[in-house]
Amino acid sequence: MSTSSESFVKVERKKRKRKMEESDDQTMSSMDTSESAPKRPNLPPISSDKISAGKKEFRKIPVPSNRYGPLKENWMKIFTPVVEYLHLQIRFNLRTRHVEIKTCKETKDIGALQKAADFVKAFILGFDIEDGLALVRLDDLYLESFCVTDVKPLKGDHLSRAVGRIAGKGGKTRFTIENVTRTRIVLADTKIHLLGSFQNIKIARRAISNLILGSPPSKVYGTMRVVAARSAERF
Amino acid sequence: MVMIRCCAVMEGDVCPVAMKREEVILLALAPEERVPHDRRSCSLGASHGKALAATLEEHQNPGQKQGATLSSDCGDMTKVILLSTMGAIEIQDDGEEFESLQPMAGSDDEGQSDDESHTKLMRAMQKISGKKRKGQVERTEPSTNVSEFVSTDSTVHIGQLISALKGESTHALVKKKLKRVSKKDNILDIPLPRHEQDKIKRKVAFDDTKTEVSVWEPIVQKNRIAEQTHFPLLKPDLKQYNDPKNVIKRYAPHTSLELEVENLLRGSQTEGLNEDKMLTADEEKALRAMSLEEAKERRDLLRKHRALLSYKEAKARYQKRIKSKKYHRIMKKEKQKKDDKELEHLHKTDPEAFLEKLDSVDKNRIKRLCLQERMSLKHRGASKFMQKQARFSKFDEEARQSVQDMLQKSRQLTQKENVDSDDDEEEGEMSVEVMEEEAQVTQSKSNPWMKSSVKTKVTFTKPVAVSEKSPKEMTEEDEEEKEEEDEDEEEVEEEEDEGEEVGEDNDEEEEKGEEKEEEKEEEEEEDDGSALTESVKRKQKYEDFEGDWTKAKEVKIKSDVKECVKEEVTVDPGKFMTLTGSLRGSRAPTVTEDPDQLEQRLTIAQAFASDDVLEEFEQEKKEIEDAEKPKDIDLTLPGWGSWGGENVKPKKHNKFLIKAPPAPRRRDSSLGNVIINEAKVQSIAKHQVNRLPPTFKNVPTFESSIRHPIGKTWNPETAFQNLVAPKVVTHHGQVIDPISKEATLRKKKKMDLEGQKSSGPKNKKRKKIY
Repeated sequence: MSTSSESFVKVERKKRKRKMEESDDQTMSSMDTSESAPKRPNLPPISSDKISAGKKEFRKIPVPSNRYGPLKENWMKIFTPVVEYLHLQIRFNLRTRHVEIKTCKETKDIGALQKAADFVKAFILGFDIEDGLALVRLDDLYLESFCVTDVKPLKGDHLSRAVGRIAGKGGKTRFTIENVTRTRIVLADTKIHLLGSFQNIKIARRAISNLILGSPPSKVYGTMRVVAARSAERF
Repeated sequence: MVMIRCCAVMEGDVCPVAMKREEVILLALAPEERVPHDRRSCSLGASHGKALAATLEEHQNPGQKQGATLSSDCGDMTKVILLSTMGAIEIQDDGEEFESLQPMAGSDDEGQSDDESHTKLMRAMQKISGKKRKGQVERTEPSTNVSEFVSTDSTVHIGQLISALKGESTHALVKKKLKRVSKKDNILDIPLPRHEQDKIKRKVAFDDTKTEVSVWEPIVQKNRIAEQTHFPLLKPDLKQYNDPKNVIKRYAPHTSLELEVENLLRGSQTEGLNEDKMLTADEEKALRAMSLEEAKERRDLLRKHRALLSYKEAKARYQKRIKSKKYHRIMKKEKQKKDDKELEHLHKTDPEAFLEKLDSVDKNRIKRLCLQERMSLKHRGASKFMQKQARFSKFDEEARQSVQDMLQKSRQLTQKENVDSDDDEEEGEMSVEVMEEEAQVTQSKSNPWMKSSVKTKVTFTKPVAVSEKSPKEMTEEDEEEKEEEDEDEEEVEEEEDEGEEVGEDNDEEEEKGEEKEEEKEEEEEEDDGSALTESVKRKQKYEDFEGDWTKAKEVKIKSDVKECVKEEVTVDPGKFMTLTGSLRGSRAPTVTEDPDQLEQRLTIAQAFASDDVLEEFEQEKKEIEDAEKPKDIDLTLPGWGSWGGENVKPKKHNKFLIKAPPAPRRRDSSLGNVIINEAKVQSIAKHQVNRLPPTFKNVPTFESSIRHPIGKTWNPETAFQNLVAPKVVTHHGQVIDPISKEATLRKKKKMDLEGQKSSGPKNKKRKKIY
């Protein structure tokens, strides 16, 4: 063993590192500490204010008349997270009936504005405040909207039946899809709004599309379950 | 102002000018026809208020003579005829004569004359020109209602049409056919339009239903007003059910005994009287057996007996009903006399029976006394005398004795008599009696409750003296006895007096005590008065009682007045309530205090020194007032209408502020020491009504009915039961069928009939009352 150890050759260090070590040693003597972190450029996160170069960004979300009442009722629930967590400025323009959000000095995150806009948008579309807050908290959540007639040009009773198939008896089918795919679905007449992660939205959309095309709910459940389980395994 | 360049006529030219305004204009627009010659001005004064001036301008081509309308035969004279329906027209001609033509305005046949003149003019024009005017002749105004066909009043009959066929061969035939057709009168009318039919049908149906339903109106009304409704509304007819006939029909013998009895009854000839037959089978048989005369005699006798019996019964019933005391007294006396007579008679004829009779009379008397005693409280310690005696019996022997005596007497009188049975029993049963007596004795030893019964035998059974007195004497004796009893009572009363005398010493003492008490009361009353007056005065002069207070410290005051003063010391003089009205009527509790109590009071006053009741009250009142004042409602939301953010100050929007109406004046605002709660109390509001309940005509009657308490305490039991009776009564498990039309209406009809029968005169009476 000893012979083999003697045979080892000491590997020279690279020059640059040594230099650094030397300088470290110098500092260490002064600092009187055993360990030391490599010196890195101190780059504090640039404030959003600076990124936008003082330019204030601005979003507008129109409020249809049917959501005006609920918006007014829940305004404080919308206002507080937007102002306190996202540090934005918000107002409801009474004349134009738009919710307007803009960045200000206090805004720290650039993405805050988009998040807030999505949050308000989700509420306007008909999602619950709590579901909308998930958009604010989590990054990988998205909103998606499509129409029944986008999937298949249906008319009259066929269209209503398709909508009925999606909802199910007492909203049963919709709940099932929501629970299996972990999404939220809003059915507003022939418009369908989905809220969830990209993958989940995809599965839910597939299921809904199948329902629109006319496949029986039981079959859709089966396939959806399989797909959802597989996707859950993957992640 | 309309300027018209035209309308001129020159040199004898006769021209129709301005019949109407339109025409003037039309004329103005027809250039061929105007031939101006001179410069003239024509002013048209319209009566419409608008002045129409027509300036006639002469064109510059005087030489040029145009059209055929001109004629120069009128020479130099310029004649202008202007006719206007509207107003006066003035025409000025330089140097020449003016002619103003007054139109026939104001005349009655204005229009007519206008027309006439117009036609004349036209004719003249024709003569001149030899041409007919086109377009201007007939001018009618269009109207909206122009018939499409011929005017309505000119109806064409078939006969007229046929007359056209006159002379033709078919004329007669057609005429004949027409006649036949016209003869047939049974042609149906054209049915009404559908909606009209439906309307009529609906109306008829509505009327039918109305009559049908209105039958129920009184019943519904009655049920609504009824104080209590029993369900089911129709009860089974119990009268029918309980009718003896029906009961017998229903009855069937079940047990062996019943069967036997039934058989016996069936078999017997005497019983089983039928209702339709006068006599039983047996009687009939007997009748048959008798000769006719005998039977008749017997029947008459029977009839007589029956009649007599019924008379007697009726009389007895009548007499029983008489309420007059005098009558009964007289009757009693009569009876007494009768009895006396009988007794006398008996005394002479049958002494033994007489004795028996006397005995029974005596017994009756005792019974009566006994009953009276049981009814009254004369000897039972309820009288005032007895109460007094009982009080003194502790000390006084005599009083004790009198009480005892009275109780004894009561006991005696109320004793149940066992003597009767003894008397009734015969000697043969003596052994039994003896046995019983023995048993009683043994019982009485062991059983204290039986002692008295034994005693009574000794004490109460007076041996009735077999006297030889006449019955009158006997009655006298009775009376004497009564008197004796009365005397006894008097004696007792005397005893009472004595007792009072005995207790006089005590009484005197008592009286003294009472006097003392009275004195005390008087003193207290005086104190009362002084205290009250003092308290009223006190408010004004605070310094006064400071002086008093110091005094009180030095000299321990006796009177309560000054104590009251001391009480007040701890209260802030600035905070007081002014009492209005006299305090004389109020009853302040008066307490006599001694120095110990005074000290205690002082300590209590010190303990509650910081208790400021008045200020607390005022604060409370203020709080309540503030709480009940209506407040402005602020509906501003941050960010709603204006920017909201971390460092943004929220703007105040007046449009989001709902101002509260000014508070109505509080009822207790002028009352210093009162808080009136004006808020609606839910628990009370539940019991209040919004409108007058049915059956009540006006508010005061309803209020008075409400004011009357319902409780048992204020009402007799029956009234209470009626008051709290439920509105609807149903029985558990009973099926309530819907109201049946037939039964209800039949019943009602019946009742109405009865009412008509009976209520003829009644109704009249009623009318008088209302």
